[in-house]
Amino acid sequence: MNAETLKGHLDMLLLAAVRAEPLHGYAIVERLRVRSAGAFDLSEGTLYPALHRLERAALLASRWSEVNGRRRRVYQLTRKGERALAQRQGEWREFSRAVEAVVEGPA
Amino acid sequence: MSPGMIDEYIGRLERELRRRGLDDPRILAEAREHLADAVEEGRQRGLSVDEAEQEALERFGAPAIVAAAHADEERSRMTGFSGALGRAWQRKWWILVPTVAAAIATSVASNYLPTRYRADVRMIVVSNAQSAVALTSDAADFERSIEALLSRNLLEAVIRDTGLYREKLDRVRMSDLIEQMRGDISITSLTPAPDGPPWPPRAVRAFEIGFAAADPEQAKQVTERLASVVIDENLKQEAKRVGSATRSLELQIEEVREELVKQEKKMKDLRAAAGGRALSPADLIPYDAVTEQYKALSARLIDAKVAEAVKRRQIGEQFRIIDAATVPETPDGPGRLRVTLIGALIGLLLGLALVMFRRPSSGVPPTLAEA
Repeated sequence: MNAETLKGHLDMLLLAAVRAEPLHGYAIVERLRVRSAGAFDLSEGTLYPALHRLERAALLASRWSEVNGRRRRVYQLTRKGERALAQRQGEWREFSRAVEAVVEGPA
Repeated sequence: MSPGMIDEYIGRLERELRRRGLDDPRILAEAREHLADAVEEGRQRGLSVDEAEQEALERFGAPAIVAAAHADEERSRMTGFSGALGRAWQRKWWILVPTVAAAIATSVASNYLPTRYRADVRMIVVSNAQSAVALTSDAADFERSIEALLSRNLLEAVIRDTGLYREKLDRVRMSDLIEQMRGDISITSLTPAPDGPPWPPRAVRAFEIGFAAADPEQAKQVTERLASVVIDENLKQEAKRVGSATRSLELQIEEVREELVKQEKKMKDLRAAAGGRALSPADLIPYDAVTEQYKALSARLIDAKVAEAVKRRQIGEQFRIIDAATVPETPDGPGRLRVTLIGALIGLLLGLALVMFRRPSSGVPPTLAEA
């Protein structure tokens, strides 16, 4: 998938990735890759600036924690993040339904 | 196998971040953890260490691209006022160090500044005085009118008489010395402090004349001289003003007297021509008129002179010294704290300028972040 297309939705994807449970950076990337069946392929290193931005916006919270004997920065959705995600999700559903209706509809 | 590949990558990433003004150990720590996870996962898939590391690094992205993405976030964050604050905080040492260094330097330097002592004379304006100076209502105007009394010539006389600036007298031009002296003179109109005792009373105008010098004795001496110059000069100017009223009367009387002499001569001629005959009343009219005018003017002149004498007595008490100058015991300056604060301010501005000129992400093409 085009990196620019992905970038526009990256925030929503990252928030959705940690919705179920707190995850560290590598696990977030894994989750995105697995769930998208490999469609989301971008420089993994560039996810971190986005995670940091979401944290500064208080949509995510992070802390160092010990996972499998290694220290990792774990990200977690905040209340504000939950609300933002729900809103984005609603907007996305509406948008994708509309796009589908137009693009896939009868000629 | 190259255990250094990940380390080398982290080193390059660190340099790329620094180049963009970023210095966050967390970015590097997270990158290291991420790469370790990726290598481990690759090994589990059966890759060799080299292959796993290669793949991990490829997936993570080139150091320049990752650093540019961070710088990009930072740049969009660092705009506007809060951005400027954040930038300043991020580079707080660049600001703090010059500020503290400049404050310390000026504080040390201020110890080498000569100590100054200031003596003061406190005076009041006696309220019944009618001088132009006393009637000025505005405090600043009043201070200016007192200052105006201290003319160049008078100050020059004070400099010569008191031996002030003796060591500079042959090196520095007199006009420059007088400028310096004006800077050392302070004239302050006094008003009651809002929380202090009500002094001076509202109807009384009080002021202080002060002079600052390196030698306390000299400060006192010059202050006394300045006070007496102000008193004398004010008297002289007022005397001139009051005297001008009688002066114009005297001129008028002079004119009328000449006219009177002319008329008397005319009368004499008329009498001689009449040969002992009484003169007609018509002939007497011009003479009588001039005589009356002369009498009236004389009376006014006497009144004016009496008034002038009264005024002169009042003028004599226009400014009264209520606190004479004493030899100052504690130095008045230099204000070491003020000097130090000014130094700190200069350091602060310098630090801010440094931060502004070393904006992060300068010289980095923005397209790198988009690559």
